Amino acid sequence: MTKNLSSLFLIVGLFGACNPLPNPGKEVYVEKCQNCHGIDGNGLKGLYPPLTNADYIKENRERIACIIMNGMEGEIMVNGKVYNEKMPSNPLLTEAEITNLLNYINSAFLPENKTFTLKEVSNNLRDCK
Amino acid sequence: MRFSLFSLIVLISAIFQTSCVEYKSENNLPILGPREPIEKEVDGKVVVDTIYHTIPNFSFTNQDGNEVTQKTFANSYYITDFFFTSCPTICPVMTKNMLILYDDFEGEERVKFLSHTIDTRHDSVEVLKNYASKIEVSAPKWNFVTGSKEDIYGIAESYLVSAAEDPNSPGGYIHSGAFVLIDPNNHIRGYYDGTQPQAVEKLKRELKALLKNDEKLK
Repeated sequence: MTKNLSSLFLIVGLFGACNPLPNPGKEVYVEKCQNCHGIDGNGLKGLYPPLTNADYIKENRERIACIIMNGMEGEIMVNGKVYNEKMPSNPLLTEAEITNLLNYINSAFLPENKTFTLKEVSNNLRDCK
Repeated sequence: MRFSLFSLIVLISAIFQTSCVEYKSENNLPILGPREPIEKEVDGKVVVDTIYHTIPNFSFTNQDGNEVTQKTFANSYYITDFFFTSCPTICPVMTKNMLILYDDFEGEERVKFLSHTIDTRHDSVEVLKNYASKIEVSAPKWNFVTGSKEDIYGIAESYLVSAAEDPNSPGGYIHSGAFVLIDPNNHIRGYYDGTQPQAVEKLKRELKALLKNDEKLK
């Protein structure tokens, strides 16, 4: 009985030690976005805009993939505050990576935002200005 | 009984260990950098003295267009780093961490901050001013400075940190992410990884210990 119980503990322990499956969107976020937009998605004061509950992302849904791919320059208004830093481009990201990234941003910072599909992102990227 | 004796021993050694670590790392920070022995005569006897590595005088321009020299930091400790405003990699994290220190030492007159831009072409006084106001900080507490490229790269060498142009790096420059702690005698007292929150906490603790120590010596 004791032996059975300890085997059970061992098995449970082994499972517990396994890391959760890596989130591919989170990996892209950590590498490309987190330095400026923050681990918490809150940006940095008046320098880098927040992603958390950002009205700008909701209102510019069809442009957001292009912004990630091509970067952006000039003044924007996010949640009532003006930001004007240059955002670098990420020309090497694939459509799938951008889709995963957007869905990670949704799940982490914009829980009410609708999930992005690869098809939607692919269409949006075709229409980049 | 055996168990409680054992716990007591563990507890006592734990207390000793933590107190040792604290003493070594916080109240007794060494002076860093190369040092030179010099011989001199005192009362007819030759004695050996040590010349410690000292930050040479400098002159830069801050975000308000004012000159910043060692006098700006007289009787103060300062934390210094090298960055540039358009840096897409480690600088935002360094700035965020420096802000934590800035807020923590806001009321402490003996602590100041000095950030050098290594992109002297782009980061004009106006650009630095804009950057400082966006993160809601101001001189003379936190000076963002620019100067000639030679002077900035030269002073980086004196702080024993790297800063160089590198067309292969994102943003065009390669530089250390270190926060360097300088004491009122212009000696280097510590290096901390400005991108790591734990290192920044260590800086905070060690600087507080130095300040406390100075009060005792008064």
